[in-house]
Amino acid sequence: MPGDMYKIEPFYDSTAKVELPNVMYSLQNVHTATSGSQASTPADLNMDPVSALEARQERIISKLGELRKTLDQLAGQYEAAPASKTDKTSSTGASRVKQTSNVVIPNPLGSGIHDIVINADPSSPPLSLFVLFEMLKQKFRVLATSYTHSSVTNIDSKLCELIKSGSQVTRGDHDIALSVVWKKVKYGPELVVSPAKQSVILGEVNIARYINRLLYPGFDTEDIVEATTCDEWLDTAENQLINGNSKKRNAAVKSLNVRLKKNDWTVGSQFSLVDVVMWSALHQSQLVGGAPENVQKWLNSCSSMPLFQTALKAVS
Amino acid sequence: MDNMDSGDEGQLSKKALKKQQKDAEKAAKKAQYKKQDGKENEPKGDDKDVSEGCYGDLVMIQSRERIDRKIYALKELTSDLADKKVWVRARLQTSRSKGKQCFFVLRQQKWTVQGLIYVGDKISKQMVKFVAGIHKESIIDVEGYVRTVSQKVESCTQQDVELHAEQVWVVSAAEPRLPLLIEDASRPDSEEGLATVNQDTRLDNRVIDLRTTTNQAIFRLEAGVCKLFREVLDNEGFVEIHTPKIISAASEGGANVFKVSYFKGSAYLAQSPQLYKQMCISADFEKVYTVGGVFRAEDSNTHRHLTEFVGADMEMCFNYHYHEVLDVLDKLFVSIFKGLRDRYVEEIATVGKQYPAEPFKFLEPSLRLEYKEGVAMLREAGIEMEDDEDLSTPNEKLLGRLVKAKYDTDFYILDKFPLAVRPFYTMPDPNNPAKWSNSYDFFMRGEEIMSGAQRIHDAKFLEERAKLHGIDIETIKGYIDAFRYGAPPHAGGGIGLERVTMLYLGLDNIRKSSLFPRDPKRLTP
Repeated sequence: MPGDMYKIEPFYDSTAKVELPNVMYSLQNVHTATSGSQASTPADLNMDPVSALEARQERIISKLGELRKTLDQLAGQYEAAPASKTDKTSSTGASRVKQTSNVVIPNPLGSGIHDIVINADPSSPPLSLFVLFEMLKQKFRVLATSYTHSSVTNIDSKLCELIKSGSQVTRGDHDIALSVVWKKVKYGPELVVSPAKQSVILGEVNIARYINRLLYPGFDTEDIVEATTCDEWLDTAENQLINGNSKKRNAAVKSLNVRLKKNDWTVGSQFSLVDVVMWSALHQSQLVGGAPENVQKWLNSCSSMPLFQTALKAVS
Repeated sequence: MDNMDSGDEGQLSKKALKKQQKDAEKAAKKAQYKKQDGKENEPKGDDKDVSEGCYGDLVMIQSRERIDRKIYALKELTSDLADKKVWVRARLQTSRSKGKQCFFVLRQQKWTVQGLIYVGDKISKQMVKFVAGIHKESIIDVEGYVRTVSQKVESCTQQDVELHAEQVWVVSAAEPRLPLLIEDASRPDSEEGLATVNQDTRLDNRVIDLRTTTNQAIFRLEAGVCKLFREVLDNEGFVEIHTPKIISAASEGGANVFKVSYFKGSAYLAQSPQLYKQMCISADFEKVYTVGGVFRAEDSNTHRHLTEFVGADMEMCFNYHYHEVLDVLDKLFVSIFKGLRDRYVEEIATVGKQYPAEPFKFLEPSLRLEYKEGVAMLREAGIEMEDDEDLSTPNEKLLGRLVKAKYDTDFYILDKFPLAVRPFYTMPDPNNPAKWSNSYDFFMRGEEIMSGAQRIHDAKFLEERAKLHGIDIETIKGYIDAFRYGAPPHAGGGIGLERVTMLYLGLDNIRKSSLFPRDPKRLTP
């Protein structure tokens, strides 16, 4: 028995003689103290209560001291960790972090036609969708159809004309079927691929991420640093521009302006998904007119790209 | 003792006195009432009933005279007519008499109004009693003042007014015992504890059952489907044709036809207007449609089979691709659905009160999937089936649910069915003629409502296909002959009016959308 707990007298007299019947086999008395579990240290028993208490206190103090030592050791290890990390980044900062493991990215399209359904509100169309549609068309054979849901009675017919390509006649020959359903959506645009297996993808930015992954399967796995920066900007678009209040919006535009002072595009040296989404977010939050100089310049270079022509029709 | 006695007597007499007094008061009151009553009842004896000539059973209307009187419709009774005296003719739905007054509800189709009659200068007690005693469902003429009410009459369609009657005449009395009560027949199944009427009782007494506002709405909507079908196709340049219903041979396949005696021989009831539609195409009508009875001798007692139903069929020729026809069909259905949604709001809401259902959802243009995509969706949901296997009823339902979950539509088209599961006259797919065909099915709420295809318009090829299906060419000679003298490429399809109505409204049984349904167990009424 551990000595650091109080001791009680046994309330069971295990030495008492009991007459056992001999009709069955006999067992060892379970209450008899075995040699292994000697009740407290024999020294304690002999000491007077005050010195016994003192001895116990000493033991506790020494144990606490040990604990303290272990903690200090751990603290030392913890302190060292961030230092080593900083070293690593500084050394690899120049040459970009690349994914080292050779994960084979499976073809996201699978076999047969890949049917993507996007539900969007006709009164606030997700503009990035139009650009992504153009990008999809460059890479895949896309059968795009715009549907008007029965819950929507008056819709701008122009909107339905914008996303349309391919012919139902040769439906089977397409890689991707893009079905845009214009209807009232509660929490922003939705993307559905397989309701049985997958939950609905919510929000314009997440939809853009999904489609971009179809276009460039490795976009957020190959270069981790760039992917993180992209994610940050995409989140800015979603949280501060599309769903933010005017204060957040202005802050986002400001930081974008700073970013674009030295760079032609928002992230990296090339035009990317982030530019598409930021462009769309700025247009939807009515920030295009009063945009600062660098942003203005960048907006213009976006708008002059052929990819943006469909989206511009939707804006006008 | 005396004292005691006298005391006792005194006490008793006191009690007795009180009692007597009370009795006397009562008697006096009674006498007074009687007197009052007598005054009112007097006309019985000496004077006339003040209301005589204002109520009673009308002589059977035998067109004796033509009274020049404006009879208002119940729906016209609004606050605009306040304090105006009007005549109405309607059914007495319920009446409830309470002392000197009687409340009653008049019903005319789906409109109801509350009526009130109370004893007054011109209205005698007998008249109120007479009104209270009119059997429910009798047709009555009522003249009275339209009065606005301070509190809305929640139980009636005309909520702002009630009718204060001055004349009540029974035009056609109903029998005192009704086989079913309109009230019970109009109740949603969900209201537990209250009486509802089962399907067979309803159908046995269809005349009364059809009077419920729900049934009035269902059949108005069904008429709407038919009207819209005609309207859309007329605008597309179609010609309405009427095809014979008594035919010499089975038109489709041969099974499930009713044989009827035809003079010395026998004939069959048409199972589909298919052959005649196609003959009209061969006869250069280009675009035809027909609406008429179709007979199926299928001994299946399900919620969606009838032995006689109304078929609305169309057939049209096209130039190069059967999708030209599919586009017209797509437009046809979308226009019908939009028409119903926009023009029949009230009817849909009325039916929804008794038979609640989710509103029918559709897309414009309609969703068009290929059969193999449907199969892929089913496989993804864990169903094991071959590419060219026919859709079983449970799989059909499941696919409907999957499509609804993904595209949020209750209506879709499945194109390119496997050739093996379609009739011999279906045109095979040009790219894979052994496996697929140029055929399509339309689905509403996961149930097939229309099956159509590009038909083979070449007599020789048709013979070849028939032989492959093991059909004796002699039995379908008439059909093949129709294409021997040149026929344009064509495609078409047909719907069952009852089934479309049922599925649009989300009803659970096709008997609810058939006026006088015919099934293997019912031939009457």
